Amino acid sequence: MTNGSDAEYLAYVHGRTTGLRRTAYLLCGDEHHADDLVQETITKLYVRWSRISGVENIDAYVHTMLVRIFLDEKRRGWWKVRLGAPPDRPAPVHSGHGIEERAVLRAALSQVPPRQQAVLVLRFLCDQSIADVARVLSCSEGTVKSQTAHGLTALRRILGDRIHSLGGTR
Amino acid sequence: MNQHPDSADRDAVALLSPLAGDPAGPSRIDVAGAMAEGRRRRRTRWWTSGMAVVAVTATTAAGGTLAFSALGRPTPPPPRPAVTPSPSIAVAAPPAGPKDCKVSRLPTDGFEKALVTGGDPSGRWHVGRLYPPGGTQQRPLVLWRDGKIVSKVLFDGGDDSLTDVNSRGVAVGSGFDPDISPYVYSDGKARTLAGGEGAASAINDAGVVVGSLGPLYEGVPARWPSTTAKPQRLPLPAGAESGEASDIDEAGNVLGTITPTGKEGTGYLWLADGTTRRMPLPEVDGRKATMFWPAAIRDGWVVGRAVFDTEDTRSFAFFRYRITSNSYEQLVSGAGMPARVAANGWVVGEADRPVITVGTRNTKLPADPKLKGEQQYIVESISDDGLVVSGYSAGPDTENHPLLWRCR
Repeated sequence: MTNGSDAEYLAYVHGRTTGLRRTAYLLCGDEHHADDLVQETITKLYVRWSRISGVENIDAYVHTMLVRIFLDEKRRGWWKVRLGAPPDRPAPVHSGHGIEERAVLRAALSQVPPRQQAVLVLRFLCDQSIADVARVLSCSEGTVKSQTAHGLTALRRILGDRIHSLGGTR
Repeated sequence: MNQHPDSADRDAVALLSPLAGDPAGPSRIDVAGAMAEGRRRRRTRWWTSGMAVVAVTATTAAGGTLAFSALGRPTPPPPRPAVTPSPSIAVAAPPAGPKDCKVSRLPTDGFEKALVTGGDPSGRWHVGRLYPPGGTQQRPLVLWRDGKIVSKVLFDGGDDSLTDVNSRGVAVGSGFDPDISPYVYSDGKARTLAGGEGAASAINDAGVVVGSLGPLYEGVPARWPSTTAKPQRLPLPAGAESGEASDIDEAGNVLGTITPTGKEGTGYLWLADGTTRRMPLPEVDGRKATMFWPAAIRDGWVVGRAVFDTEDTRSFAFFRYRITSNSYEQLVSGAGMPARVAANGWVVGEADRPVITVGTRNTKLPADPKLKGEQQYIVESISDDGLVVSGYSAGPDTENHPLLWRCR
């Protein structure tokens, strides 16, 4: 006997879980961790649901929550909500790129400052506009541009010579 | 080194492209768990900030409203105090009410985590859901009779749930495949209810089912005259574009919410005599509520909460409503947030523990002594005699246990 508000929440979450998992996975690079991030996001969303279910762009609001939870976790270095023990599961399917290549790149990205990581992932993996990223991070478009430049410079510096073994042009 | 911006972006996309991809494994997201934990956190906020409000208004209000500040406030709430607001007016306890209440954990066939999601008016039948460890397998649904498992069943859809069961052991629920679909479970067999996309919320002993048709977010209230009948749409008043029926009593009175365009839902009744009624908005201290959110109906009683909004705060007051007199009475302080009502008018609410309220007397149900860490208790049913309550605990690490309280 859910009330109307619960029903709306359920319908919303069921429609968005796939997209949220994808963004969370691109941000953190780990499936289990991504599920934890989404779990915390939809928990917070439920707490606030009655206040925000009427906002105009709820998808943007929820993605902002997700990114902030990711950044908050990076800042604190620990995580509060853990889902059950992760089971064995198949490795993610990525066409055209080797496991080692991804591991090198992910390790390098994780050494970039967190906000710059988020900017790079949102802009170049999630294909978000500078304006969208600025809204998610509550900063100016100019800051997004400078964080993009700093983040790319840092990533290339960390990769060093290994950048030549990665696919694509630099 | 200056590059054209588009070219720089293309290079960056190419550099990061090895990281593109979707998670391949099955989702471990637990939506029901998120809701349980969310409810726990919501309640924590009410108690912490509600205490202050009650203290300030104790001299003027008998059943002070509980308030919490607007969401997104900068500081997190302090840890929840281990007390509830005490009754603000002492009244001699009347003789009626539950006594000697005891709690037990419903059996789960070895599953650590499980929920109760509904119960019947006799107090004999309960429905719930079991969570396999790891979260990747489907979650079996379960029927208990007299505290013992009588059936376990796996449905084809995703995130299935049984929402209610009647005194004959006929249960209703919904699952996603991928759209939401209503179903009935009876004598060990599950069947989809007629009418396509929709959700079943409740069933009475006559076998009348209520719920909604269409996508959950934009559905319309509906009633199935029997579990084999086609659904009938319940009329929406002018200005409402969606809604749902959430509960039904034995007389056939249907409780639900209607959602006016661009607003949140508020309580509505489709009465057995064929008339409809927008639930009136109660007043507290001269302020009229913004909305009324009903929780349950039984034998002409409705319980729920009135919502009071200002620009940056939302507060609640808890009420019992009588259809025949079209009037509200505010529940006494300490009654908690009303969850269900019994045929005899007793109300079970959610505070730091479940509370049965009879008139001005609150009986707090016992905590499960075996559970460690801070627990919240979510209530799902109360029997017609008010003596059997079901629900579940929500503790640390999204742990849940299905519980049954029996009183004399």
